[in-house]
Amino acid sequence: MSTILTEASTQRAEVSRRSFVKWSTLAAGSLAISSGLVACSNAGDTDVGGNGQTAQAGVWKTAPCMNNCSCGSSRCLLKAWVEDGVPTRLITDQGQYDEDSFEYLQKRACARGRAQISNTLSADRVKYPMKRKGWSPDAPNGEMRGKDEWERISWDEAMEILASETKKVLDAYGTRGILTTGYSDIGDTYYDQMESLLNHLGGALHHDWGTVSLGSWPLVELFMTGGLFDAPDYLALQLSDLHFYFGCNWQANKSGNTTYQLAHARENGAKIIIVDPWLNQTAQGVADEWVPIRPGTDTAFVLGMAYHQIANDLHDQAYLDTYCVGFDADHMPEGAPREENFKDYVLGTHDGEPKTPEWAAAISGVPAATIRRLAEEVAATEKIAFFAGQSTTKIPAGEMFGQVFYTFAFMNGSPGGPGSYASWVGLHEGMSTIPSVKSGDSSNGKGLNPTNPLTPPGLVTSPNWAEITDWDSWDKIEFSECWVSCLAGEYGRDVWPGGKKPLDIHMIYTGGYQNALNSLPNTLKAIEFFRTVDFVVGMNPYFCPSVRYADLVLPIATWWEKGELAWTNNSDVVYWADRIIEPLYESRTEAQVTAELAEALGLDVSKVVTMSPAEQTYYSLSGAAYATDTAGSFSPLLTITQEDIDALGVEGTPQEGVMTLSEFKEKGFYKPRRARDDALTYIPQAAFIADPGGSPAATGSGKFEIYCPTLSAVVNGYGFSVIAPIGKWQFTPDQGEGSQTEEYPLLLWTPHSLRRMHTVNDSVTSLREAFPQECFMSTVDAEARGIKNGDLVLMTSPHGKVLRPAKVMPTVVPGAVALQDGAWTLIDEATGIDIAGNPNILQAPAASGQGSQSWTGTICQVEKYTGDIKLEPDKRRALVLPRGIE
Amino acid sequence: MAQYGFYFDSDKCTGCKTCQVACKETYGLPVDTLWRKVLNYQNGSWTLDEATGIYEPDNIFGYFISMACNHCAAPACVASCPVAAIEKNGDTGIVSIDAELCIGCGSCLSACPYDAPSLWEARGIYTKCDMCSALIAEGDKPLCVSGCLMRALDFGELEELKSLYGEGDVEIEPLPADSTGPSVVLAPHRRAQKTGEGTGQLVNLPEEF
Repeated sequence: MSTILTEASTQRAEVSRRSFVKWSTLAAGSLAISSGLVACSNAGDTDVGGNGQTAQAGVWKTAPCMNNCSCGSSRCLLKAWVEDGVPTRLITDQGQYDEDSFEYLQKRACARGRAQISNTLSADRVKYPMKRKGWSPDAPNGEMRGKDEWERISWDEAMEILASETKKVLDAYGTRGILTTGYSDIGDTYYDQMESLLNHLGGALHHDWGTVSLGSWPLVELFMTGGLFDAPDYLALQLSDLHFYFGCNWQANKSGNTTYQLAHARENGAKIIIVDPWLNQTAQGVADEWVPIRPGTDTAFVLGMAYHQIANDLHDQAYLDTYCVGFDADHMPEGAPREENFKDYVLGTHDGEPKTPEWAAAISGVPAATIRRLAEEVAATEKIAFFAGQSTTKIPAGEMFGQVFYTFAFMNGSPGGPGSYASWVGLHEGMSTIPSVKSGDSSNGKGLNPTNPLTPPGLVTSPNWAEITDWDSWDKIEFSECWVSCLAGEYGRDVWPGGKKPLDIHMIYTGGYQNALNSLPNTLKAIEFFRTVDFVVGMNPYFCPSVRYADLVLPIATWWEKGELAWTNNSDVVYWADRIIEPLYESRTEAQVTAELAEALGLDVSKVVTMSPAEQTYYSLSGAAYATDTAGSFSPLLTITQEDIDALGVEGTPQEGVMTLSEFKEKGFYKPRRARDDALTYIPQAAFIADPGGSPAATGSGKFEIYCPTLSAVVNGYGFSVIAPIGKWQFTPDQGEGSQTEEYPLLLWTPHSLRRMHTVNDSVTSLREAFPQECFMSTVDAEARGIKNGDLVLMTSPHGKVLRPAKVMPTVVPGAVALQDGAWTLIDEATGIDIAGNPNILQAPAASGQGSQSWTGTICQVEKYTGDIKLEPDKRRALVLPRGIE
Repeated sequence: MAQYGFYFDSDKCTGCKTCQVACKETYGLPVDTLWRKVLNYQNGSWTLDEATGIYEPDNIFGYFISMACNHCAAPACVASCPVAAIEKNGDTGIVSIDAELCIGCGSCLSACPYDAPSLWEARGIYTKCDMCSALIAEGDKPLCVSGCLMRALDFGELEELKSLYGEGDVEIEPLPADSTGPSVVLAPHRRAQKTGEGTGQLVNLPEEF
């Protein structure tokens, strides 16, 4: 360890030091709030008594940030100074190892990462196994979920309850009687052996059709271009002249280095245009131009630009003729109706409605002159990186924006080699097909985990009707409608090959870091459903909303309390994750709980918990590898000796890599040193662009499909939406632009917050102070309602009400309001109002397209609040703790 | 004597507040106590085009200013302190408050044009940024600088910063006119308005400070 690090630690003497005693007694002196839950002040929870203490011997440990930042582009380095088993301060990648060059970027952590000690040691950790006082096996008394008091119980008693209740449901209904509120893709970060147990017993029933993240993109990209998660790496991104981005706020959702990489492109002469309903943080920092747009109307805006280009012959016809099918009547695939081409749709040749800039302006709110100017600027620019955030397709029939987005990119020569890109991922990241580096498989290195027999053959995240032979064999609940489906006892559509599918759920398991009650749309229905079932068990490190509505809650260890893994979720770094602290209070790991449950159920534990912790460590290390090209060639990263293997006490084979195990653990990470035009520089679709005849695109026609009948056939087969083979603007009666009513005149959208990543970190005081949960609204709409910055406002949709302070800004487009995702629901039982501001209280259960939630454009109203509820600022708002537990 | 200072590039800052939070978390600052904060200044209006029903944006922009104590050449806080608890270091130019002497009267906060001193209520004293004195004594940079995601902050001898980045301009909205000689090189945002010529406003909620 460098001297700087060691000596910096002497700062500790002057720095506040939390003590376990201090925060474990925080629960005392709490104040009750109307929800029946107990709260304590989270303000001032730092122990200043450390002042003047002499620094004690400590050690630096590697604590890579495992916050679930969107999709793995920015997991960052943290180093924790640990004294007497207590982490007391964090630093990031800040020059202690290497320089900070653009080719070898430090992996600096954002505010959320820097607050991970406060998050991990938060007063709202679940401390002990506990059961709800009003619950008993024979009288669940479910309507008291979320209101009842709690009773501390022993682990033995908790496991007896868990085993007997699980057995009762399994005997009567099988595993389909248990809703497992998580995704079935058991990965390193979220590895939850409980899902293996349910898979072993017949299959875990998940709400994992679609994703809450990817929007409607995957099948659009797959069928139109033949690629999936395709995007340039960050050095290739520097080659563009213009970055034309829709819905981009990377600083919030891909923090770490991504926005810096964009700023670097700008410093080197590229122009950045961001189209978004607000002048978000990223745009304020790096954009040359902000194009304000009404939420969910990007499709019309792009069609207006396309019209102007077509009408003035500004588009790249040669590119379209070479690489695409479906643009005009002369380039339609065989058998397709010629009049169904994109160009004639835009011109209004057959439907009588030209998609002029004026037409687009009326829908999108972007003035026609702006649309024309941007269309001309795009046409005049050679190398353009088109990017659209995942949220841009989280609208009804959102595939159609994806179709229009790619079509417009094709019209302007993208993707077309270095500098010319079209992507919804933005830049190479953890989910990219071929990352620059990867860790080994710590969750299934031995390959023995039971697969889920209920998982149907799939197309990315949706079932593949064509390959399902036994209709009753599968289950996969579409997540947008999960709660209303569970309440109705069925899900799906009549048009499905076997019709709607029945649900008969008697138990809910909420674990694996999931917080589904909070995270899925229509949270009030989630609460209603939680209150109907026989038994709810929550396994989580935190007293999050989902476990607050449980009967039995088990304290689970955080990532910091497990560790001992090589880990990544990022395209360009592999971390070593130390165990930072021992499990807090009475926490146990999911593996421990699952093994005990398996034993109680008379199962062979080895079939369920397939690897020991040491084996997980070993496979994460032995499988770590770095790419040597962009075609999928990897070499082992680590040298592992027989002595290393013996020290772990596992079976294994020595291997040669470029770094010894001790070097890796000491430094804590490996990242490749990059260079311009090196072998890892990734240019999407390069082979097809270079040789369209010899290296056809991986689509049905071998070309990019502007007219894509496979896409529309597959998507329409799900029955949630009706889309055309070409991208079109579609009005939806109950959502988005045009559906506003007198009662609900505003459109809601729900961007990510810098305070949380999805639903994690919501209890951290320093982050609450930095980023209050606010209702963002335009000066125009605020003035019309007599609302001033900071006023309490009531936000109402057809699905619920939330109370929040307004943040009134000129930088929000009129007619739209935003509430950032992930705030932890806190219902005022007297009024039914969520006083914490979870947007899912307002969101509709609106399944769309391939099984994508249409979060954007929910109709709502905002008014100045005149009721009796008083709201403390978030930073002083009480944390919710289980009442009855000391 | 040297004078240490900060460099801040408002033209890059995205308001991510990593500087603010890393500082708070590292030094264990309680709620309401901030040694570095991030201001968000925004400008502009919307004009309804009656013919189309569209609101047209008029000169809308926004930018961030990350600001700690500026360790001024002529620190108003030093002069204001009734118990001489604030001192400007002769070797580094760092202005610091002696916690043992401070009586928590708040004169320094009233005097400071940048609102840098921050009440630490439980201790009954005012506190503020000391440029991570212990870290820089070891050749490191302050935490806010080494943690900045956008590489928008730097630290060093003021004269070196000026030769590296130019003179900068601290007289931009929402900052006041220069009356104390702040030791900061501030590169204004591309849309920045000069102090006194501002037509916009600070949009942060009071609870952010």
